[in-house]
Amino acid sequence: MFDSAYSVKIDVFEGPMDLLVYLVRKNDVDITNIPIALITEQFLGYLDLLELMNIDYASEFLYMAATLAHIKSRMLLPAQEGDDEEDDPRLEIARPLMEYLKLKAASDILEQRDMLGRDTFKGNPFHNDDDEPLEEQLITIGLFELVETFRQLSENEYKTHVVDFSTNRMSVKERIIGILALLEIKDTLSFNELLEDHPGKFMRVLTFLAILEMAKMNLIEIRQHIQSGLLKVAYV
Amino acid sequence: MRKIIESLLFVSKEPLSIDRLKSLLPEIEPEQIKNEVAALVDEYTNRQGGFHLVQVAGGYQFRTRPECKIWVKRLNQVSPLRLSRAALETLTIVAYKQPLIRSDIEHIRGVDSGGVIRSLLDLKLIRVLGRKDIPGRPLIYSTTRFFLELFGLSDIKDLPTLKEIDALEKKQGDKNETSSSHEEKTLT
Repeated sequence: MFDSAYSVKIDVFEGPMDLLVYLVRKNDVDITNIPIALITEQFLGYLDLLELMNIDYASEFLYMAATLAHIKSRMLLPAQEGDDEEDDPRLEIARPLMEYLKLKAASDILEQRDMLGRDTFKGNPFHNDDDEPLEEQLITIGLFELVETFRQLSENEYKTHVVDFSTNRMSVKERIIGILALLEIKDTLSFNELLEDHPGKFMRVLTFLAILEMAKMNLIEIRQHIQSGLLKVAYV
Repeated sequence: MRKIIESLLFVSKEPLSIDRLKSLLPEIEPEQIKNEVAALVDEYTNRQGGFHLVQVAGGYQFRTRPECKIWVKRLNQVSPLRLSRAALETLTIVAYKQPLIRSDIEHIRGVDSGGVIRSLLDLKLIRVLGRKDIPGRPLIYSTTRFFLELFGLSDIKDLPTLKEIDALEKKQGDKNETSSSHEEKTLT
């Protein structure tokens, strides 16, 4: 085959569980009494087909195939005394399969509920978000979102190696004063605006701390753009 | 009294809970508020109008009747939230097994679920509760209030239990079986 020159990602079977469910249904077998040999053979057949079509499949499929083969090999061992039904090796796959099917059924039921915005609508002509421009709606932001923004900003930074010999470093207090001065001129500032003039991890951490401190002191408000996820700070 | 409560429910953007009504209306007996809300629910149900008062996310909200959706959609051009099968599946797992960590989800689905979790977080359908105190300190997830609002659930306990679903499935399966055996009989 061509060396990964042409690859397609299909999501007919999103994972090995999906494929297993399909095979169990196709063969119309009872989950508690799965013919392992048959299912394993068809499972591997499907993987071969994928390979033939030069489609990459995730290692989870291989893991499942190995599990199936392992179950089959354990079933071939002669039953020992003290073995009861609970020790059927097939339970290793039957249990998660049953669990998965149950949750799949639950998700179908959830999908059939009257969904807001699809089947049912809430009223209120006065509150259709007209009072605020859509791009600047206030939403509550959790700590994890703030941290995520910081992480993204860190990734964007150029990887230049600058050795910093300076010892006089700015304090959080000084940074707060700096940000307040900027806010005097412009009412709102995006996180990017605040950070782009000041490269370097130290300044970013400092700015980040200053923003958190200011939010704590109720000096500013942190807003997030609904679509782009852009964080902005604004005077209260 | 009833008209006061009705007016608040009409204007409120969020579903109004009984507790919220109680704090807004200290002049009305708490017990009476509960009764009046229940009476309002009945009133709108009996009226058979274009909208009714439903219990969602721990409160009450006026919503249009599902049977009117085609026509309301003509007016309301906003496209509804679409969830992929993977997203819906993952959301269901979070809803039923919460609080849980990513590996719990992947254990059930048998497939990497990082991307789906990320998009569910972005949609505010699930949220981070904190971190689990085990190696790696993985994030713990749960569903949000918005999830309840979206699916018109009053409480997470409103969801049918997995046992109930199981029983339902079996019932349907039996029905199919009997009908197919019936067919066989008629064939022979």
